[in-house]
Amino acid sequence: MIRLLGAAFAYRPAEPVLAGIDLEIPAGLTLLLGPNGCGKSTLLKLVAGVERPDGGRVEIDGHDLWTDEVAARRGLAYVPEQPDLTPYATVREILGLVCRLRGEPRSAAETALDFVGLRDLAHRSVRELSMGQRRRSVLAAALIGTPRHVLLDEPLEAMDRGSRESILAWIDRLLAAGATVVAVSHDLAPFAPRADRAFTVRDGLCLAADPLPEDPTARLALLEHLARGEPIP
Amino acid sequence: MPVVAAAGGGLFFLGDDFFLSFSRLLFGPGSRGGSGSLMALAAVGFAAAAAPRVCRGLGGWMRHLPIDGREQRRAALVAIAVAQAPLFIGFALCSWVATDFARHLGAFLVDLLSLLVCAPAAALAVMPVERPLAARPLALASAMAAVSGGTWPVLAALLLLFAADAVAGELPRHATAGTPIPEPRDGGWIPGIGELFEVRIVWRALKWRLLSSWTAGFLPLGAAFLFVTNNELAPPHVRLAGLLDGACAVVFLFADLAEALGVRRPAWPWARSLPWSAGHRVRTDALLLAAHALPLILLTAKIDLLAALAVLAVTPWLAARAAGAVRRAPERRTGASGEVLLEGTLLAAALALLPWLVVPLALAGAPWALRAAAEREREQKVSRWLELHHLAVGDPQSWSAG
Repeated sequence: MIRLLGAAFAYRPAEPVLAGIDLEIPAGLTLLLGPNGCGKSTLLKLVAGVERPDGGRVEIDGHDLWTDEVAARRGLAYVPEQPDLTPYATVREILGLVCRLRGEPRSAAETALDFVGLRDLAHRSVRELSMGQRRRSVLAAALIGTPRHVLLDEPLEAMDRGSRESILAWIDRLLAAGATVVAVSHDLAPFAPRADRAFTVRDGLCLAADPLPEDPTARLALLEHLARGEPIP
Repeated sequence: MPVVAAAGGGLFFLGDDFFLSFSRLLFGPGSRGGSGSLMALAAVGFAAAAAPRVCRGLGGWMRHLPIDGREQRRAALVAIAVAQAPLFIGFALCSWVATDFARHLGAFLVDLLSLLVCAPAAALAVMPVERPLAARPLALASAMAAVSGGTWPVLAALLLLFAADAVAGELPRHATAGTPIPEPRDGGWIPGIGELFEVRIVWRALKWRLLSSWTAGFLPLGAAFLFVTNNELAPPHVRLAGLLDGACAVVFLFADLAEALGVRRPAWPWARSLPWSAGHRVRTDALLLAAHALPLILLTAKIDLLAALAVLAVTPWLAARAAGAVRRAPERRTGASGEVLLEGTLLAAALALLPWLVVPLALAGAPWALRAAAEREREQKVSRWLELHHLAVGDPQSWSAG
């Protein structure tokens, strides 16, 4: 369970991006929708522990992300939209770090590299990889261990057809295993049938559509509505 | 700017006589050979600092615009020349004084012309160009000739500058390069230590910069050695020199390393989602910084053993504060080094005067300093730049662009 308790955040002091969000995200696929710049990625960064909220708290499985840092992050995997891997390490070294921190054997990195098709490029720095390959590197890091909470920011962006299918199959496996998957995406069609609930951020607050309609047409229409940032009808 | 401000401050404290003598040394009659070379080298130094920032990002989208590649390179050259303005305004002031407050107007105008030629020549000598082997020697000769005194050398410098410009060509395709990043390769290149990811990252980020950091640290120790060797001092005074200069050596080292780490190894947002704590990251940095200070402490022991032990005792506190300063660097105009230098030199002075008080306080304060640094690590808004500006590469104001 992911919980946000009055989480507020601003990049500039007078311009809040998130204004005290209270949210509970249980297991299943949660879509985070909305127009560009509404605060979806920022909300995901707060949940991932990349940014600390200016006010309020974020809890993962009851552990506060900023007072119980290691325990809260142990089951967390985050795939950002911008794959900001350090240029001072190879892909294999970065995955080695993830293995060490998640308590997994080094062989887990090789398995993940095989899954994303990067074994032959693992000796390279991210600077030598294309955007799609960089994104696959971050995805490989998310595959290491058994993450219970997976945060995906535009997971299908810059991916080729084969990679998209692999990612969707991986998400299906995660959902079947009872994981919490939160996805930010402008590409609704692949996620609509899998989604359990959807949120949008509007004026710094979260609007939820939970549960989503069973009828596929009504469900897609509602998600389109949220993606455009319009109030829930 | 800090160099110019320091020079201005220094001149203010040194007084009118020094300023007059200095101006005449640079621009007075018969004094232009050696001092001209120094001025040219200073200009080249300023240009070398500005060039990577100005040229970053010029190799991409800009190239499709309907503008000749040479014109693009000349525009960058003008920008680098303008970046030298603080230095040349200082030189112009010196010329104003040396020519008796421009009473010798002709000489003053020739000096101004020489500076106007020297600035672009220095820029061309260091900026990335298509044919650097042909252009750089000509540009360097032009910069030297321009400030070597007299009208004819200025005209010769102008001709050399035109020649350098003609052979320089366009900006090279890789003109976006700024801080060089070594190519990482797999494998633990130092058994044991090399396996540690954090150590590799720091060493790859710092690379040869480590040498300049150590040089900064050796300067006060060298001064202490000279002071102790060339004077007959009582043991308490030798200890005083060891305490002050040993602590200053560690402070200078940490200031330079912290500055370099702040620029070359900015916060890594994604890594914050991994299961390691802010305290772990800060402790690793502090440990690495402290390890690099050990050679300086050993040299301090050559001056005075007890002084070295006292410096060793305050090193954890200094290292923790420096690790915290790295986290605040993007928010401060003085970077990480300003904070480290201010706090560190005060501590060094206090250590020299009251070691019996400062040593236990620093030892007791080290855990607090680590906690404060970890809190700074958590407080960082690591994705602010990207969210507000969306692209660091090509933006010279981006801290991470180096």
